[in-house]
Amino acid sequence: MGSDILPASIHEDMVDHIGQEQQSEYDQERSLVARLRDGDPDAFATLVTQYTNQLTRFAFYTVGSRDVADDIVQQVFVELWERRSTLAPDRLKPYLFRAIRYRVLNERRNQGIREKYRTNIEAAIATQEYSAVAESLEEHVLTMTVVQAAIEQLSERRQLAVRLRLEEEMTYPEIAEVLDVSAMAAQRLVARAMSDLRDLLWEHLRPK
Amino acid sequence: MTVHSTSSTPPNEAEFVYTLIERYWLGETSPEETETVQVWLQTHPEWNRSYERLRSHLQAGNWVDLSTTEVNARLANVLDAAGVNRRTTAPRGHQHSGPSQAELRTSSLAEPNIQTIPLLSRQRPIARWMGYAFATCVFSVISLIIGWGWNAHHVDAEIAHHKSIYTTPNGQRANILLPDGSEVVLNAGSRLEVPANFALGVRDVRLSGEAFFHVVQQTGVPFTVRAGSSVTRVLGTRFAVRYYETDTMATIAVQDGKVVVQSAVLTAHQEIHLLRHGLTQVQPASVDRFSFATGRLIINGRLLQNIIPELNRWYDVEIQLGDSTVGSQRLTLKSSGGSVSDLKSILELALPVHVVREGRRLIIYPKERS
Repeated sequence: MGSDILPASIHEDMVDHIGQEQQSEYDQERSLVARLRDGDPDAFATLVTQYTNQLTRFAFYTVGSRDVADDIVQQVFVELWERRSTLAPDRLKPYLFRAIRYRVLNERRNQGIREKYRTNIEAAIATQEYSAVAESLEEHVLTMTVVQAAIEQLSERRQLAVRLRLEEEMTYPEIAEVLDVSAMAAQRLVARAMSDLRDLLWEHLRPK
Repeated sequence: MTVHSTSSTPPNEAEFVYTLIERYWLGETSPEETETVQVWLQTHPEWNRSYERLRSHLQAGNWVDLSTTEVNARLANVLDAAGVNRRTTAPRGHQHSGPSQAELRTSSLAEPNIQTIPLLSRQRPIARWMGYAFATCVFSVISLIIGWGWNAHHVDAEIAHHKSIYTTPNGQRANILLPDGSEVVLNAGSRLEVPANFALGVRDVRLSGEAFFHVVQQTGVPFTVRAGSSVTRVLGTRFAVRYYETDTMATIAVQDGKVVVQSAVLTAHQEIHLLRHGLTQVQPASVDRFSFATGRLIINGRLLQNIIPELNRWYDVEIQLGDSTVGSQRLTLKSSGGSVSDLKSILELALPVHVVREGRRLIIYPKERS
């Protein structure tokens, strides 16, 4: 299946390393949070605008319905406003993502929704009957289906971890906070996800 | 269950790629390793596309980013639900006047207005994407501040360094030439977003409104158009995509070539619609689907009240119905003209109506019998 890509030694400072852009983003956000704590409605509006798309997308991953995702995100923002005076998160981003995750898990439990992450890979293979001639456009469409299915075969936590890392661009400590694990565990989840996907991804991702 | 594949990469490439490129993408490489990878990427730039593709695979299959309007709508709901009182009015999206506004050109093509970024950026990919996200956030803050109490009529903006946005106001169309040689005719009241990495080989654009695309073939590099939640993929072909806010469904029609819309494949003279609950059947394309691309407005026996948005956009007018009966008449017209008085004449010729004009507003009354 491919060798483990964990680096030989994991330095603590590597785990926590953030770039300059990220640092100034945090500083800017810290001042917004301070204003929010004081009850500034415009700071609240700015934060809502900033985070709506990412949080809705994140909720959508699990619940699969845009309406339900919208609902959950709205609840989280309302709660953020209601708790504004007691806010003391180090960084708002993992706090919000964690709140979303908590609610989507509840939602899923309440609705009895089957775990979305188990996609039937037979469905993907069935689409190979698509065309006898390998047309690169259809190949591309097929690739999307097969790779998407492979990603959805990962355990939920590995899938979430790799998405949070590559798509939401969170640091490992942030991912750890969202998933309720240690930072090292978060890094391992991401590494394992990439390892699981490696053969399939490289088959399809390599430049031809 | 995993799908096994035989990989026939030469051992050196595989080892290098597996151990370094992946960690580079994950933002885990030391400064020295980062430099090694970046130097290598200079001579192997096609690997940047692999990164883009990985990211696109990670996106949930049918997730489409929320537009500014959608975000603002959700903001309004949140403020309402939380009982938040704001001194100033809610912001109305990006209202930042930028230097680029697509203009009407009937014969020549507009100047390409895309800022290409250097293929190799100094930062690691994860930091670069953070940079985009950060700049977008900063921009949102600034535009919120500018938006308060601002009544700008034109809503065109260019978010420098990250994407190019072309917008057409009502009454204007535009011809746009993309960096790969593809051409786009943007109909009135529309907006096309082209990301900065378009030149890198990720041909993925977002449309709100209506546009006709003439896409140049690039082997192995599909061209993707997103409109609402519809996703249309082509290699090289001519087709039209339509999804205005006033529409209830997205429409994709092919003039020539082959197009994939979600799971359906369309060929020449076919069209498909995307409704809330999914795709309709593939149907023959209606004849007037592409007429806007050649500067003609064609309306075939449509109810007047239903095509008011269409006429408003094409002629840049504001049509009102004088009474409740006049809207239920059917209108057929073919027009290449664009002036308000043209429209007034056409309406009075085609229908038993009397049109009162107040500047750019037309009020339509039934013609009185004398």
